[in-house]
Amino acid sequence: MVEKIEKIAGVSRENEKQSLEVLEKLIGTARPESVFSKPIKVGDTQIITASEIQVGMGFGFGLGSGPQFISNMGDEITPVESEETGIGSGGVGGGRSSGRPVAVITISEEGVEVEPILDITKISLAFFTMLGSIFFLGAQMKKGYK
Amino acid sequence: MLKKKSQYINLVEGSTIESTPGDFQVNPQSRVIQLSGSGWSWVWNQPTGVVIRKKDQEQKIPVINFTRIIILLLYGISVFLVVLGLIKPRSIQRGA
Repeated sequence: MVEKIEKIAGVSRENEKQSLEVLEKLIGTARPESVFSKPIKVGDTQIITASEIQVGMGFGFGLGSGPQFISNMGDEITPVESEETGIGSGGVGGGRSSGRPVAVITISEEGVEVEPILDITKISLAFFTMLGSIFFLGAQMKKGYK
Repeated sequence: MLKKKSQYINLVEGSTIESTPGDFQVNPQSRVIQLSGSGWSWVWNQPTGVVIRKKDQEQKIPVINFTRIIILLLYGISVFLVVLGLIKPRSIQRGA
């Protein structure tokens, strides 16, 4: 039984090691080069896009085992270790990444310009959420006056 | 804002050097907020500005994330209105 536990623990440790390697790669996004693209040359002008990046990840592993219990007559419980001892292990992980352009940097001989980029979709979603909260407030006020 | 590096929180500010035509140099700058623990990590990398160096002069142009500012404003108003909607009717009922 000890060999079984060690074998399962070894597999669990291997999985944890691989997950840590993925986390290390995730931390690699924390570099200034990650948010700025390579310059795109158009004639005498260079264009660089600046983006915002968010990356998150987490994982967990567990391992457990227990002896088989046999209850005698009465209230006494005697633990008996046998081949039927239960062993279990498991792991879970998840992650999310998102990126969004924030601005465009235009470099020419005349100078440098930074033009912001607006995400109309996200702004619209936030606007409709605000509209919903206005309707909620109106409904609550109407209910309060009754 | 936290400015020290610890086991769980890391703030990094860095820049990359870009070669440019003409006699000036452009350095885009970014800021990284990294939270990590045992088995989890979260990284937020955002541009902060562009530093332009021409001969002995240096100028910084900020990169402002207008979308995030507008979104935070709208969601903040939404949360305020919802909280107001939950509190205000109760005070009206108590007054009546």
